[in-house]
Amino acid sequence: MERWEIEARLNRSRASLLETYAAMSAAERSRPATNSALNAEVEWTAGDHFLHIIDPEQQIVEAIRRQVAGEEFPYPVLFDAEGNRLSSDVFLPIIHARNDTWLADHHDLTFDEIVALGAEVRARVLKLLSELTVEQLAEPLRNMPWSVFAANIGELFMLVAQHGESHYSQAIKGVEARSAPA
Amino acid sequence: MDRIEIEVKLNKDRAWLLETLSAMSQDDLFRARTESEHDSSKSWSYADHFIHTTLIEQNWNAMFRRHVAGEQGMPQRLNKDGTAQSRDEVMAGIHKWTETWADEHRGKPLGELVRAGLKVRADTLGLLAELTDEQLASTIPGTPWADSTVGGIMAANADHGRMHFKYAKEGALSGS
Repeated sequence: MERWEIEARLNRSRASLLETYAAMSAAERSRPATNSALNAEVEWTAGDHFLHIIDPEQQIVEAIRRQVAGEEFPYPVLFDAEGNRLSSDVFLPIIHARNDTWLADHHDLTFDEIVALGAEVRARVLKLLSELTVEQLAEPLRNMPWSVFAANIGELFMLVAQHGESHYSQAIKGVEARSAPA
Repeated sequence: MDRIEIEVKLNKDRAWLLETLSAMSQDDLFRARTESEHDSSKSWSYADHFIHTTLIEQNWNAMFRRHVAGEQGMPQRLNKDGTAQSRDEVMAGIHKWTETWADEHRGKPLGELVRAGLKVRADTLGLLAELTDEQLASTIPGTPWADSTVGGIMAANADHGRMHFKYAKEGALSGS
């Protein structure tokens, strides 16, 4: 996978998400779409799904930085204090809680402010992508939870695009399901 | 132009350029297409036109930063005696400057040119994220590009890329 392919994929995906969410009215973005994976009483709106994707993106950037800096455990959340990998039963609730906290912490942002925040994180992604060598992009992921979906660092960059699209899909399906006649 | 429109335009046009240039053969990418405007003994290929836009994007980012810092965004070009340069003198200086950049990058593979452009694009996007709506809408005096606003000129990076692709495509040296 070449650098230009990653960049083009990220660019197209981001443009599509921006256009799609911007075309929604504020009321549409505020419609409940899904429930929190941690707490069924907490609802995620379509707009929450757009806000959500920024946090994993910045976590991925940080994890890639740590891996190329030589860290053996570039995503420490995945391990306990003794360095043992957490089971999914333990790890996933931690992530789900983090996701809900992220939304709560950014609840007051306007859509434009969320776009600006996303652009700031995307700028970091692109800068890192420009800094890595071809060999680094081909490095297998080291002790990261995303290795199920991405074989190497280049594919992990691509996963950022897929993640955004996946959440858009979840949001739309969720809104439609809730508005369908019972 | 709001930040969403700017970011969408930048993303779409950059993706299009990357996909289009990457689909070309090495021969097509690096073959002479247009004559250098600084030195008629030199020529510009699609690749030269592509990397040229990175220089301008980098230069515009510096201009935006000066402007929002309250400095003169677009400094007047002066002769050594302090008099204002004529349009011909200004253009000659710009062509010399752009040719120096082209010389520095000539012969590099597309992957390296993409990487250089990506670094600057990351800076552009970071700057876009930092600027307020008011800053994006503010006019930079003396600029001839787009609507002379920060946001308009930033978005014009996309048009600039497409324009240079067109120059190369229609280049008289293309032999087609």
